[in-house]
Amino acid sequence: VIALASATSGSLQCNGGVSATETVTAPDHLSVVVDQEGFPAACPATGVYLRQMQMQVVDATDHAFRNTTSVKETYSNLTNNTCGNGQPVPSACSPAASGEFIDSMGVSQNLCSSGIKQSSGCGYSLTSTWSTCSTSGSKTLWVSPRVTKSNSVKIDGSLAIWPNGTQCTSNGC
Amino acid sequence: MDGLSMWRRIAAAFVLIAAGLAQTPRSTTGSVEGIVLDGERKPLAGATVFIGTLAKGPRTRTDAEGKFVLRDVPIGNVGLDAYKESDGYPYNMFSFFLIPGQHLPKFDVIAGETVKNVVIHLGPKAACLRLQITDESGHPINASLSFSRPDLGQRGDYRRSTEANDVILVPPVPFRFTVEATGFQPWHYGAERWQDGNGLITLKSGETRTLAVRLRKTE
Repeated sequence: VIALASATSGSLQCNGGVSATETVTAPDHLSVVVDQEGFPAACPATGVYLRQMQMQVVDATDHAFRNTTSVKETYSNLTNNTCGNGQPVPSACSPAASGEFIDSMGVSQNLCSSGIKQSSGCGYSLTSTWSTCSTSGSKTLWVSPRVTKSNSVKIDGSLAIWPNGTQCTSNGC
Repeated sequence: MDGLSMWRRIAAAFVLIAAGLAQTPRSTTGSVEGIVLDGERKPLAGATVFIGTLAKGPRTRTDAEGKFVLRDVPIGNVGLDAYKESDGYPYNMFSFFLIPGQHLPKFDVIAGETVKNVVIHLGPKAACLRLQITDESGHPINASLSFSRPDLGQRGDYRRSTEANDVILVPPVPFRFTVEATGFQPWHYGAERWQDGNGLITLKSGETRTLAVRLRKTE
């Protein structure tokens, strides 16, 4: 059995069978699991617009990277937030269980009592970069220019929702 | 070491400890303990509890008895919610999923303290839209869905992505929806009468409706 497994480049299973070897690769970019947006249920009349993208870390061949990996966000090209509630803060390094995490976009983390009027259209623009956290050098996963307002969120210059499975890289989605 | 030197060292140690204490940041979070009940007021195990009033926040899961402990909750007034899509309770972060008459708990979180006995009572189960989206040749197409509710106006608008073959949880209230994909004409439920009463779809709690959607290419 061992010789057979070796000859077929497979791995031995507990039941004595042989299965193909799964190659563990490295995080390379992101894939859209689900993209959704709307006003918050907790305060539909007063809350600011929210877009949430659930993302999956994938390897260079678009296969899901299921190991828990730590990811972070950085901002560049950040403009002044015209809502007057301070500048946005990027997400610090945090573990993405099974390689999944949620990217939340809104003009205020406090959705319900920020005092920002939905209809004002205030907000800011920035370029968001998601990357892995590593002391030995981080890998850029996704770069996206965004315009975040009190009543909409635009990514890559578009208000469109990204279909499930869309591959997002350092060149956009 | 003479006596004076020893007392100087002890005093220096006290100064350092005091300085360290002064620099310790005050906690800016608290905790919440409670239970999630389903539409029949039974404990719901395996539900995900989240803060519906924050764009980002901690999450946790209920145990076998439906109980949860949510830590690192930012101080201030927060509202909690929960979901378990496999049991028909949707991720109701967005207003489209509001059930009339349903009230979720809101309370003040104080630094370093625990709010106890919070009850999240979920409303009736959602309905299911089973979608099969293809082009005219029958090839599956991933698309985006736009939902609206006449009772909520623009504030009930909700958009999301979907797989070509997907099951979407929807609230058991009247709503409209449109299927869109790049390079294809929008598909409206109710066809050309989608904006009047005939364009509304109403599903009962727990009901499943299967829709085969064929998208036409943009001319």
